[in-house]
Amino acid sequence: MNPVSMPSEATFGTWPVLRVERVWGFGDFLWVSVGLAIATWAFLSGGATAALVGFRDGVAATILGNAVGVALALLAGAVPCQRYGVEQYTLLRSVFGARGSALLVFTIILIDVLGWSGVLAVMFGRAAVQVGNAVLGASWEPNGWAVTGLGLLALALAWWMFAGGPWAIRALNRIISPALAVLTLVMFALLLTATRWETLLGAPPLAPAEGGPWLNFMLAVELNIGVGISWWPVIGNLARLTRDPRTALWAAFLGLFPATVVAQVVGLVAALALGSADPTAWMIPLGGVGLGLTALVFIAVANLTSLTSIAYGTCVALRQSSASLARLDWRRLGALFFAAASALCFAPALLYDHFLAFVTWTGAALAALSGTILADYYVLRRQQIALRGLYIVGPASLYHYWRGYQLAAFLATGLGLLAYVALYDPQTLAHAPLFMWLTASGPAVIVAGVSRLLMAPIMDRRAGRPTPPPCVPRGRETGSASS
Amino acid sequence: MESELERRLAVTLAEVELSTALGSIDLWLLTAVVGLISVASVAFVV
Repeated sequence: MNPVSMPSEATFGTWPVLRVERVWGFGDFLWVSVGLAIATWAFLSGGATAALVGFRDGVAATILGNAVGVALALLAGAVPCQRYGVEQYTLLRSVFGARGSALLVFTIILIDVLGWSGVLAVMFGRAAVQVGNAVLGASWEPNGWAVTGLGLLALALAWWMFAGGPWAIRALNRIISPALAVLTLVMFALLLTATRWETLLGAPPLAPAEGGPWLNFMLAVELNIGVGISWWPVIGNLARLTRDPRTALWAAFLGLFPATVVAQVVGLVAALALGSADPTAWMIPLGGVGLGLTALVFIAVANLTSLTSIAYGTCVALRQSSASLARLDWRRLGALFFAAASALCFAPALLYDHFLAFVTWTGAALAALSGTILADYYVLRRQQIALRGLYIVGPASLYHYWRGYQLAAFLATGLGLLAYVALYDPQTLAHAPLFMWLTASGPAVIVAGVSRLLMAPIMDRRAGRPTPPPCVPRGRETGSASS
Repeated sequence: MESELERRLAVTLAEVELSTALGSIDLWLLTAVVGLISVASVAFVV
């Protein structure tokens, strides 16, 4: 079947995407991943890292944190979705139950992706305001009405692009990704020529926490694990459009990890050299009016492609989580998503200026979720899902568990989150001694995963639904599949 | 609509049975890569 004639319920909904319909080869997915990674949030993450540590520690924390975070996100999200071609949160029904998966989508996932969307829209607004100030001689404030209005414009433009589906994302990324890669390298070259190496190595962090360099290094590592694992909510629904599992894993890893690191290091260097964590404030001082304005325009456009990718993955997830949303036209669903994200444009500083806390809190939740998913999918199920059970509504499904919720999975995730907060509180930066050596995400993954395994023999049976055996043959389940 | 979903489930099940899951080589390789990166990063700082 020609991918273009593929039923929209497979591309935009929850049905399995067949192998013949998967449009992304290794090169395509590599560029999609690079496009996601070189999005300007990487500059923001680099700036946030510079708040804690200097150049040397910042580079190490960026590499370490992203390697761990991206690997977790891919194993928990991309690999299972690619294997079955199933939408990410439909597949999550096997772990948390049908209603449990919907509950996660409407809480943790929606908060996370709306937050990131708001950050991108505000950054678009701030970039455009910088352009306006330079070209028109205006004096628009970084948190003023102009940023709000331009942020709303960004969301409207992203909605228009979003209506094109995955083919539009691929086409845009083929243009935007290479252009952004060039911009990032040009910025890097400018920074390195304008800043002496000794100055860079000796530049102090912008706002380090009290407690010494090692604590700040660990805080930076934790931040960057949060950045890396933040790919989880979107990567599964993109990976299911790839042709084989190695493409899903390695194209995404080789795209997301190095590209994120390079872009974040550029952000780190710029923040240290120019004394600001906000990427939109760097471009004109760095490149002069001409180059700076070009860079700001690129940043604004790049944010649109990132917004479109986020919205695509999230709206597919929303469709499987609510019958009324599933009936909604794709464009209208997108409009609802962008309308919700628009609320953050009215308080531009809320997340943009508290980026560290936002990323760390969402990273904590995603780390605990990942631990539960890894234990469930790789250990309990050995990568085998009873596919029809995902689409059977009600108690006939193997994945109905207790009233639609897999309590063991929720309990395990909760314990993982508790372990995280016991080791490190992102709000106050209070930490236990173990955090200095283990991070908080690592123990959260392990506690959630081990808890899930320990609870399996007891809680799964008590719920009346033992852990399904691998590959339940067709006919063993009762009821008919329904999306 | 439902028959199309049934068809897709049947085809996917057949495809999954014919395909191989992500092998342990890939999982170990990823673990090794991430482990090496982590050790090297800490050594770089210390």
